[in-house]
Amino acid sequence: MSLYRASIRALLVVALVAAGAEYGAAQTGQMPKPDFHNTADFLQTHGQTAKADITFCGACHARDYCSRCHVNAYDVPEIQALPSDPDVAAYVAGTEWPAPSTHTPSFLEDHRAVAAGATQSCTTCHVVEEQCLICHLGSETLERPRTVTDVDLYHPYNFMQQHSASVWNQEAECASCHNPWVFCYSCHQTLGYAASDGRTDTGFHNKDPNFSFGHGQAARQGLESCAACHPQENCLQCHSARAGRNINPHGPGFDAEKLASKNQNLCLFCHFSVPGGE
Amino acid sequence: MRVSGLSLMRVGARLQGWRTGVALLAVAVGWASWGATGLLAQQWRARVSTSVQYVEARALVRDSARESSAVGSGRQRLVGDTLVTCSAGDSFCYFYRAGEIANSSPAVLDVALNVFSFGVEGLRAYVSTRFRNDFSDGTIGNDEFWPLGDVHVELLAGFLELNRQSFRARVGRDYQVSGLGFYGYDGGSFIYRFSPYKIELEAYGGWGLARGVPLPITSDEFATLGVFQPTERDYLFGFRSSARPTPNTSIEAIYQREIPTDRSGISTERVAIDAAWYPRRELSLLAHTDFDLATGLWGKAGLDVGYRFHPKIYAEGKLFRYRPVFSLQTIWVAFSPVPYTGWNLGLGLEPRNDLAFKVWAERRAYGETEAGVPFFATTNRDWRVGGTVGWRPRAVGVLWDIDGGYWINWGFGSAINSGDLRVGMRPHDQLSLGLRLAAFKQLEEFRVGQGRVWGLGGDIRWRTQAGTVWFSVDRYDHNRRISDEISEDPAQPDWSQWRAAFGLSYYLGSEPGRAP
Repeated sequence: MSLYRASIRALLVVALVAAGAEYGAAQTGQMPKPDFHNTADFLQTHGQTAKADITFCGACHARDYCSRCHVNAYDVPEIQALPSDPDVAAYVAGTEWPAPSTHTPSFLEDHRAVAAGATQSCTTCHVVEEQCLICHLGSETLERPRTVTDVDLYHPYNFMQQHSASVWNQEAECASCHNPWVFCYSCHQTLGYAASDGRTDTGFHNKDPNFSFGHGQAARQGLESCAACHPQENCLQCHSARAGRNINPHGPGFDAEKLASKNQNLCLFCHFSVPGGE
Repeated sequence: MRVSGLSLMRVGARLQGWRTGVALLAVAVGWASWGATGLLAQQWRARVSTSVQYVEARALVRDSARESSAVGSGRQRLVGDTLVTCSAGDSFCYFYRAGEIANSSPAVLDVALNVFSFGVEGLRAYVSTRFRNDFSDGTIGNDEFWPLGDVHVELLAGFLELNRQSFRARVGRDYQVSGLGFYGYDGGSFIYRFSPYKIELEAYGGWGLARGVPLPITSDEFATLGVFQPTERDYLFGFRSSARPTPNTSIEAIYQREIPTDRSGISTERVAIDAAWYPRRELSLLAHTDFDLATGLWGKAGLDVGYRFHPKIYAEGKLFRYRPVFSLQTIWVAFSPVPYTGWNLGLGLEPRNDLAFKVWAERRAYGETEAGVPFFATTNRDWRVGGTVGWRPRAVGVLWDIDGGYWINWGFGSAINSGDLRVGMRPHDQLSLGLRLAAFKQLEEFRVGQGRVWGLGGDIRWRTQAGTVWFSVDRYDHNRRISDEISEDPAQPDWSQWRAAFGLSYYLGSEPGRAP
C-alpha cells in the first residue's frame, strides 16, 4: 500500500516537471517573423522603432540578441531595459563569440574587481543574478555533468569527496558562500564526525591521542575547520574564565580593549565582567 | 553493492512523508505562478532548474571492546586488527567504526522569474526561490543529513528594480557580492552612475541575513547555536564605489557594517579594496585586500600577475595572504586565528587550439601561533603541486572532451594524493556522454589512510530546445588494504558508496533569437 502510494506521488512529481518542460518547449519554439522585419531598410531603421517602444521589441527579444551587434549595449538604455538570456554566457564560452581579454585562464577566481568595476558590461553576456547566485550561494548539486560551455560550476569534479583538504588549507574562503553552520556543521554532526565523547585519536586529529592536549597550534592555523564540527560550547569547557579549566585562548594580535569597545557581549561569554571595563 | 532493491524501496517509501506534500505544493505553486505573471506584465522570463540526487554516506559510530582482549600497552592498543584507545581504570577500550549506510535523496527546485517593463522603462521584478526536500534515511535519526533538508522554501532574492542609465534602485531581498563575500539583506540599494569614468556609487542596507545563506540568523536552522544564537537580526548597511577609468582598469572599494538591532555592539565592520589592470592584452595585474575594523586585523590580500608571453604559453604568479573572519557574535575572534602567506606559480601551454596543459605549485606558511605545544605539534607549512590537461579533438566524426587532473598536497591539515579523468563525447550538438574515473588517497584528517578510494562514473547531458536534462552516477569503492597481512583495515571506516543525480532545467518565456 505504502509503496503504491509513494509510486503514485513520484509519478505525479515527474508528470508536473515533464509538463512544465513541455510548456517551456512550447514557449521557446519558433515564431513567425513580423512582416516589417523584412523591409529593405530594417537594419538601418530598427533603432528608431526600438527607441519609440522597446517593450514592443521585448515581446520577442532579449538584451543579448541586441548585443551581438551593439557592443555598447550596456550604454544603451533601451537595450538595458530588456531582460537577459541565461544561456548567453554558455554560447560565449563556446566558439560562437570570443571572450573579452579580461577573461584570463584564472578569471573564474579573479573576476571580482572587473565584475565590480563594470557591472553593466557583465550583463552583456551574463545574467548576473542567476550566475552569481549559482556559485556564491552554494550550489546544492554535487555532480552535474559539465562540458566546455559550463560556466556555472566552481568546484571541480569529485570535490565533495575530497573537500577536507581544501577546507583545512583554506584554499578559498568557504564561508563566503557556504554558511558553516548550515552547510558544514549539520552534516558533520549527523554523520558522527563531530563526536566529542572523549576520544582524541580520530582521523580528523592526525590519529594522535594527545591531540586535545596540544591542539592550540592546529586550532589557530585552521580555526574555520574546527568550527565546522565543534560548537562553541566545546571550547568553553576549558577556555572560559567563568567555568572549566580557565585556560586562556587569547593569542597573537588579540586586542581586548578594542574588541570590548566594539562589542562587550563578546567578553561576557567567558568573563563575568568586561576585562578592564567598569 | 550498496544499492539494493530493498534500499530503493526504502527511498520510495519515504516519499510518502508530509514533506512530499510540501514539495509537491511548491512545484504546483511555482508552476501556477508562471501563468499568473503572464497576466500582469507585458514580458516575463523564467528559468526552472530541478535536481534530484541520491547520496550515500556512512556515519562514524563508537564501539567498544573489553580491555582484557587488547594487546599491547599504553593508550593505543590492538584488538585483532583494530586500533583501540584504552584509558587507565576503564574495563573497556573504544574505537570508531563505520555505521550503517545512510542515504539522502535531496530534491531541489530553483525557480527564477523576471517580470519586466510594466510600461515603465527599466522597471523589473525579480524573484529567485528554492524549494527543497530531503528524503533522508531514518537510520541516522534525523533529517539533517543534507544541509537545510528541512527548509522547504527559501527566498534567495526578490526585488523590484528600476534601472536607468544613471541610476539603479532596488527594494526587497537583495544581496551584495564583493571582496567581503556574499551577504544578503532585506532592504534596498541605490546605485548612482557617473558616466565619464564609469564611476558607480552605491548605498545599501536593511535587515541582514546570515552570511552565505538566505536565512536570518534568528531562524530555527541556527537554534543549535544555543546561547550563542542572537535573539535579534542584525542591521546590515554599507557603501560601495567602483570605477572603470579606462576600459582595461577596474577598482572597487566597499565598507560594510553589521550591528544588532538592539545596538548593543558591532557584529562585523570591514572594508575591502579590489583592483584590476590589463595594461596590455597579454598582461594582467590584480590586487585585493580587506581589513577587519572590528578586530583591527588584516584579512585576505593578494597580488596576481598573469602574462601570456607567447600565443600558446602563459604564466601566472600569485602572492597571497589569508586570515579568516568571524563575527563578534561568536567567541572565535577571541581565539586568535593566525594568517598564512604564500605563493603560487602556474604555467599553461596550449600547443593546439584543442589541447591545453597547466601545471602549478603552491606553498603556504602560517604565522606564529604562540600556542605552546608540549604534547602535540603540527607543521606550519603546506605544499601543493598539480596539473590539468584538456583535449577536445574531433575524431570519427565526433567531438571529444577529455579532461584530467592530478594534485598532491602535504603539510598542515589534510594530506591528499588525487587524480581524475573524464572522457566525454558529443555525438550530437545537443548530446554529451561522459565516462569518468577518479582515485584518491587522503591521510590524517580524513582517514582513508593507507587505502585508496576508486571512483567510476558516467554522465549524460541532453540540451534540448527548451532546456537541459542530465543524469550522472558514480560508484566509489574503498580499497582498505594496508599491508600484505591486513587486506581490510577494520579501523578505517568503509568509504564505499553510490552517488547519483538527475537534473532538469528549462526556460519559459519567448525569445526567438535564442539558440538551444
